[in-house]
Amino acid sequence: MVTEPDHPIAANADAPEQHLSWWLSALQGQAQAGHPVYGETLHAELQDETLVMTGTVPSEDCRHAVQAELRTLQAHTDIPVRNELTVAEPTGEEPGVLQQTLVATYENATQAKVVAEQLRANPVLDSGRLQLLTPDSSIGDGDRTEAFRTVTETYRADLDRALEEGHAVLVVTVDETRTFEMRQLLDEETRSLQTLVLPPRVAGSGTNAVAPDTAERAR
Amino acid sequence: MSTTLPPPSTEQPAQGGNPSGDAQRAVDVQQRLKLRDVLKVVGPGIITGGADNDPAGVTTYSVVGAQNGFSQNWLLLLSTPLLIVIQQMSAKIGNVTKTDLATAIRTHYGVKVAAVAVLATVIANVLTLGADLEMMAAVTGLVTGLNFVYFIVPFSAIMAYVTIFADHRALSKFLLWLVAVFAAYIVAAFLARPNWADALTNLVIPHLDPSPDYFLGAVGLLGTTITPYLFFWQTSGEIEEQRGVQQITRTNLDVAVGMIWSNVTAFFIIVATGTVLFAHHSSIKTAADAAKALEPFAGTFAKYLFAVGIIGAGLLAVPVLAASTAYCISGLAGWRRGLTREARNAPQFYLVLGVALLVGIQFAVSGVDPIKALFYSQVLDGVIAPVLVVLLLLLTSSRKVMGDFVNNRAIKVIGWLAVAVLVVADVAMFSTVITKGLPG
Repeated sequence: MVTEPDHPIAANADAPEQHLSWWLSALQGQAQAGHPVYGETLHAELQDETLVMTGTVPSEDCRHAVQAELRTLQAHTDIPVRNELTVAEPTGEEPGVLQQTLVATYENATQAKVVAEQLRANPVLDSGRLQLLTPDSSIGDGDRTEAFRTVTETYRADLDRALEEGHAVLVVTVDETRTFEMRQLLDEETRSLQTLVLPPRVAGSGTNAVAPDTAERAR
Repeated sequence: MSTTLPPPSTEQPAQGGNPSGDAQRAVDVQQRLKLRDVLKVVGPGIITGGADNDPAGVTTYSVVGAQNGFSQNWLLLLSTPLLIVIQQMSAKIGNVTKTDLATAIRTHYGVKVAAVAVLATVIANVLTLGADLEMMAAVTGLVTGLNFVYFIVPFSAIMAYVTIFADHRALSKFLLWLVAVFAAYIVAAFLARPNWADALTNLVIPHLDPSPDYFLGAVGLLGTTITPYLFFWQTSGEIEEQRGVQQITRTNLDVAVGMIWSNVTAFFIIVATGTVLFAHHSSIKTAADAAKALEPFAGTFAKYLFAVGIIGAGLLAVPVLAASTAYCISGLAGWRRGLTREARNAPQFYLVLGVALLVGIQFAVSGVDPIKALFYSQVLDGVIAPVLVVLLLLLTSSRKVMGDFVNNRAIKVIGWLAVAVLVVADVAMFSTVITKGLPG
């Protein structure tokens, strides 16, 4: 089993290089899908031999991250760039109040590892946590125990079942305000077999506010 | 980006005790509304509530008023808290799980249960969509004097463009003003000089008439008020707007204001049609008949006012119905979905949306009487609504799914009361129709 440490995007110096191919295809008008990180919210278009970028990113940090990608592109192409990206309006939700854990099941460990790599390069995971569980991990494994603690007893059976069926599981914890984007990445973009979104809990509480027997009673 | 999540605590969750409720308390502190926040919510809530009365809703309330007078006013009063609670539950699923309703049902109750819920909703949506298109064409025919069939395809083309290419959210702000003309029913109801004692007595005292007309009207009225596509749309709306649990209080207030206003408008539609048409033993067979209820207010201009309202409501409702259908099927299949995505990024979602519109057009041009089509599509909504309300209740009452944001006892009681009311109305309708036949 592999347990991923906290992984802020700033630490990933390779990200601009990794996204270069997308920028090059956008430059040729051949980008088949949205930007690898920001998807359809970011548009790049060639206007009078200048690459013009429009759209909205979630924060100023993200805007700077895109700027870094453009510098990498310019180092390869020399093309003039106009960055017209805007930062999204505040949603009225405070980050740091709550956090949510998502449990995404993938067909096999190889697939889950590829997804984990993609997530590492994504600002949505910034300051979040990611754990990768594979079927070959042993029951007494300390990291596995920690992952079970993150999802609490309530979801342990779901985790166990997925691993017993030979699937790999990503356990991702992010700030509640980023959960919409993370759910979309796991469920829609990387096509997990199933993505469970656990209820929000107070940031730093470590466990979901659900006692197992009350969960049973509630049913 | 702005915070760093600490590593997981090694503390065990409380065993057997009451759940902490910490997340709920944290949100409560976050959400203390100031007066100016309330005012910000109330305005849009009223406008959105007005938009809930789509062509199908306006037509169904008109038919109910013309057919049964004020005798079903009590159902409007009874359905108001039920509607508020159901819509708030739908919104909460989006706020907490960050997932649309079809996906939430599939994840927690399996593909088969989700497929049944989605199939029933899709059928009702497509029929309503077709009937809405037909009614928009019918009112255009009414004011131009031309055969309404000529307008179905142009309206459908506009709808397809609006849904797929236009920014529906931005357009909605303009369209909502067109729908505001339905507020004219309030003035029309007063000018029609109804028997207010009768209208208000029927509002608080239930009146039952064991006839097919009465129970078809009751199920249609409940189906157009507690309408399944709105459950899916409400949840998806929370996802599109990315409203999390910190916005629950505001969402609840928005929903409550909107739904109350929606039912207040419905009450005045019934009072106006009940006074103008039922009292004179006239029924609604055409768009022109339905427009007569506005004559006390607008005189000979009633048909124009009615046409503007229906076209505005249709322009709002048809994209929502098509998108809601696409959300249902894409959520069931796990495809990329959302109106904020471009078509090339979510091809299946937009394909479903296009097919829903095409099937709706096919239905609209099939020659079915538009008034009957709209009315019976709402009866179908009333038949499938209890199944979906049960699923909503199970999801939002599960502590596993909702954590601290699980339904409290009062919400559960109101939710199950809604199921009971819908089931009783459905059973009564089927038994009277089977024993006495469909009304002519």
